[in-house]
Amino acid sequence: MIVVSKITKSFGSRLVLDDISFEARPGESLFILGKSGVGKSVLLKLIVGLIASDQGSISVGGQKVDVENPRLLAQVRRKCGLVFQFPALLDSATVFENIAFGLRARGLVEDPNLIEPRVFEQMRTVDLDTSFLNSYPNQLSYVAQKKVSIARTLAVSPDYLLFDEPTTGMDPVATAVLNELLKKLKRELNVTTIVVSHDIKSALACADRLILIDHGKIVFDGEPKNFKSSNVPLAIDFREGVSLGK
Amino acid sequence: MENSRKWVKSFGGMILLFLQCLSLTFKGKTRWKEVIEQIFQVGVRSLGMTITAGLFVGAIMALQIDIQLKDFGAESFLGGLSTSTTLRNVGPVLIAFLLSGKVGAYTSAELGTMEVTEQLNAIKLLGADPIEYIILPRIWAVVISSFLLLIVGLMVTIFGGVMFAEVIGVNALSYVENIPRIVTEWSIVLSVVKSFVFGVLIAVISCYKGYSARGGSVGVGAAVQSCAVTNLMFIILFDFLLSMTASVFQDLFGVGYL
Amino acid sequence: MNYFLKNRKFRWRREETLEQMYVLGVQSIPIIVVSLAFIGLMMILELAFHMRLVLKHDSLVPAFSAVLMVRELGPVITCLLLTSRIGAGIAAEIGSMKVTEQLDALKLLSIDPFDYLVIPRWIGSVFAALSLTMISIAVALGGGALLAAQKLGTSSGEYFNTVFFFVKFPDVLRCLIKAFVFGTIIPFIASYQGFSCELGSAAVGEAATQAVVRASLSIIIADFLLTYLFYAI
Repeated sequence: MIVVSKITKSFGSRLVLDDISFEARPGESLFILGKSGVGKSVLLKLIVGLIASDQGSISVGGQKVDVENPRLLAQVRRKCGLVFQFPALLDSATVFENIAFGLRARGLVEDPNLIEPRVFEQMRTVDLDTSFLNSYPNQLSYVAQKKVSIARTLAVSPDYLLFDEPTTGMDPVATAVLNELLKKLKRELNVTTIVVSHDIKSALACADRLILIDHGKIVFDGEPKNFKSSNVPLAIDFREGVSLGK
Repeated sequence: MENSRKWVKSFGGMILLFLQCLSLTFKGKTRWKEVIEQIFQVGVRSLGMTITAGLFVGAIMALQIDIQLKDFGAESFLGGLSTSTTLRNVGPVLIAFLLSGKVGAYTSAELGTMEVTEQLNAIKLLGADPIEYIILPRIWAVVISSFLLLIVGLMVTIFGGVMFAEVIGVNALSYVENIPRIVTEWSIVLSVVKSFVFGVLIAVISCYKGYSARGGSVGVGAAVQSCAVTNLMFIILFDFLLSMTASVFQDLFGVGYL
Repeated sequence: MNYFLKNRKFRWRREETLEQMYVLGVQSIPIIVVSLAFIGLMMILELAFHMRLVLKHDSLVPAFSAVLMVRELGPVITCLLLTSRIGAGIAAEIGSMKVTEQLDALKLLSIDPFDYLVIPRWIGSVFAALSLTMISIAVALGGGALLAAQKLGTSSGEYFNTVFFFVKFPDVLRCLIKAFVFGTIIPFIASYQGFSCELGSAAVGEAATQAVVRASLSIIIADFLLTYLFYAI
């Protein structure tokens, strides 16, 4: 369970998040939608303690996120996996080393021989060609890099999975794979996922719940079927965008 | 006002980063295998430039000192005087300038890119410390390779001086014989100390500037620029401080004179 | 000359040029003045050491240091500082413009990127190199005079007398020519690196790095050639 209560964050004079509160229940798949640049990514970074909030508090699995306290923060981070918007792969390491990085750094696998099967398993999960194993990130296409990035996060089997715009820049096939993956994670592993996105199609396909943020405030919070009938202006815009897209 | 606050902040940040790296080293957290790999990379990448620079710096100083000694009628001191001036101050400063561009700017660009593409954040979230994992091996690699490159560069300056002396018609043998008359062991100690200090400066400043880069490719460019300027200023400052210390020692104990 | 300019459709971009003169020249003053003051002090210390060693007295220190300053270290160190101050900046700026496709946008607006970007930076950089070299030599000599009075007991009157006796007008002229050449090297190498920057954020850092390294090395080599040309032939 991730509880976000009364979070306020501003950069300089620009107020990005204004008194935001919500919670992600265990096993839930929560989509946070909003236009570009409304501070959705900031929200994810606040949850894993990469930046500090101005006001309010966040707790992950009952543990408070405290940027000042490295030891507690490390415990919180062990439960979380964040997939960044851009791949953020280590340039100097191969695909294998990238995926194995978290396993080694967190000491999750005792026997070094077991790392390789785990890496292969994750590559299959994200539908990544295993022939890339010893390539370097800059030799891969953007989509493949992003898949490696997702595999790297899945490899540490986090309780809470956070995705920052996972489908941005992905082709339709990769998007479909990702949507399937989200459903599967929920079905089989009961992982709590928070996905920040402006991809309304993915959201309607996979989400248990939708949150819509506009001008730093939550303007809609509910199930997809309610979203379809909501008359919040931004929700209508997002839906119209869909119908126009069709 | 804003500017001076930024200066103080980044100066403090550099000292903290350096202390943190020292304490991690004393805890035995350095992965020396990676340090050696990095030294090899940095060294190979910069050796050609260092040698070129060394040759030209040696030749420039031999030429310049030769002209000036002629003005004052003391040509017989050419070999010793130009070698000594090059080893004690002009050489370390100029070669360190170039290394701060080659090694320092490269390091800050690399770390800056890692920062703005969130690689360092990814390392944090996956449960490792980016300072221990990325910065620590780089700091030691840059310290050691800059130091070694400076020493190589300084040796090459002597060679450049000799070669150029031959070109302008000074006998190479008498040039070389003249060197030990003026270059004392204390001068060599000073130039080695300067080389080491400059290596530490380049390493700490470049790693700090790269690590604190923010804001996309523009941020990386800004980090490289600010790294280059800060490196040069600190090299000049410490060059003066070390020469000053040496001069105080000479006055107090008479070390360094024949 | 006129024909050449007309043919290239050269336009004197007053705004751009003045801005570059300000950014490249005026904003670099504090850094360069502080650094060169220390270089001036350091030269006095080191030369005092050497002169005592060689000639057993130090009356020639002011003259020797001033000549070395004007002929060699003044222009070289100033321009190396200028390189790191503006070379990386120019390369990174033009590099990011290329990465973000602003250069293509300029071309579509039928603005020649060379005229628009390089010429103002060239003028600004030459202006900066010339004026900063003069300022920094003055500062270094001033610092030297202070330290000479302190350490050698030379009064500043004596100091400047010897300096003006040994530093001849041709030396100053040659020093300015050096500064002009170095001031030309910096923007051309830096903008070349910027224009040939590849795509991606790593490439901009790479371009900035290469600009500093190549421009610095070129300055040292050019300095050798110019010194040889001026004094040894």
